[in-house]
Amino acid sequence: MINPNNCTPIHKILINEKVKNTTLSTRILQKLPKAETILFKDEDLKEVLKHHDAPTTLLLTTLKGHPIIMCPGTTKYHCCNYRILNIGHNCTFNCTYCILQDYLKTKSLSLFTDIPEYMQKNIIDKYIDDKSLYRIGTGEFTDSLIIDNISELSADLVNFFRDYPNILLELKTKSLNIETLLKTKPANNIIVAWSVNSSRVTAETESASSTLEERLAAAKQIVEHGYDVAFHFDPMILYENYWEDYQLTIKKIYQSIPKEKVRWISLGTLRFTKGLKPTFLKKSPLFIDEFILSDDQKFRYIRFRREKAYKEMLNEIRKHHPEQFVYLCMESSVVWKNVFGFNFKDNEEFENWFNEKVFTHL
Amino acid sequence: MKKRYVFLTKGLGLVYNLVLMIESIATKYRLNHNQKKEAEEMIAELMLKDSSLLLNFFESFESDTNQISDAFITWLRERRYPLYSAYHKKLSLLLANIHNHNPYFRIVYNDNFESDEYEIAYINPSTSSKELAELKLTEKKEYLQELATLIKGNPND
Repeated sequence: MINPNNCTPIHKILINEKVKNTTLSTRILQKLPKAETILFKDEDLKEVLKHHDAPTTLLLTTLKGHPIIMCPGTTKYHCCNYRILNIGHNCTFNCTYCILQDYLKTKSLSLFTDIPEYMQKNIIDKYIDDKSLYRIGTGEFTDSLIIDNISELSADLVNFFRDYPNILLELKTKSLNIETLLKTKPANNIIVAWSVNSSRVTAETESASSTLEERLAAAKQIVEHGYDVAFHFDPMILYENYWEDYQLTIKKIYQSIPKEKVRWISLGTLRFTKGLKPTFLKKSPLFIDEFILSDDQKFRYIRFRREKAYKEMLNEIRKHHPEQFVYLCMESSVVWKNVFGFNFKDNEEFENWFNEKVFTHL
Repeated sequence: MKKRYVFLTKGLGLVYNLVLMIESIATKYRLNHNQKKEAEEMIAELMLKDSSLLLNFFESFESDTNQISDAFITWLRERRYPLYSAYHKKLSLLLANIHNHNPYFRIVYNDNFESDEYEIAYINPSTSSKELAELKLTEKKEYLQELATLIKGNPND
């Protein structure tokens, strides 16, 4: 089976007969001729998964619902009105802090192989004719590139979105699966983003994905090919002496990537829902700490520690690149004010501010 | 297989010890149902950090109060959440000093420290009562300043 770099091996493909003839399904089947394939009727999905659900199973199915949805974000805290292009679900990297395993009940990776067809119909109707600015990403319910070596979906997305400069598409990943992107003509409105962390967090909680150095090497290749990149420090874990480790990660980023090619950096400290607390703390010694139940009913580090960590990060990033655009993910108005010196009256204002900063190509 | 058996035995041993420990503590410190549950959670979390936590850990707890259960839970919280407990202790003291059983106002502040501002709620909306409240608030100016500093956090951080 194809398994370059840290790509997920696929041994079995479940195909919903509704999408068996889509371009994307055909391409995947051609790429994995040795994989066992099982064709099923749409109404039999649950039954099929009951017998074949596994991390090495790929489910090719139809998208139910709208292809673009608002990022669920959180209530009462600032969210940037990010949109999600719903290409599929699940991730086999199994990062210890990831809440996907708790939200999603299946182990298989799923891909909505009718997404290119949906994009034509829906995105044009809802977005393209509208001259507003939108940031859209595919990496919320799955890793954007986790099976890109076999789906090559990134090429479809880049080629589709390049003509619509009012949309900024972010492909967010922890993988090294960049071959398709390297074969595709880059576009100014496509950002390839990597989640990054301290080496210790990566080693202890993200062991099934790639190392920081590998991610930065992939980002470097992507930049050399002509794309811009972004980095997400999320979740930042405030273990003892975390600061030196995070400082080193920031240093490595700017040693590897020309600063003007880093379109944005986001920061977010560890958070988890109330329901997950009994199991969450047991997942890693790094998580044993003090958390308070914040106003959106998620557990977070006490505000003073979050503010301190963000200020340290911001100062360090600005030492390397004083104009670097940095934002906080799911943080409170107070934290924004104390870290950046300003905050937003609502999410729309946050969104407008964000757009002004990042749609530099318009 | 043998290794897994040993691991399971160890794991079960820990759980068994924890159950016994909680029962013993609940009896000794007269914990009610909710306190027992909270203590169990905190002890389990402390053990995640230090699996060698044993009964003698609790020997450092001393109390001469009649409310031994409350004192024990507070003592345990201070060990499980030292930073939060320190902030909370300061907050409680300040609020007690500011309120001092006055019948005119209350400081409204959520003790998760997510806000850096407090509000004043007047108990009686009448003008005369508000005026008395304002008078009391002026008397408590220093405590109110301390409160503002506490909830804003350390500016040098």
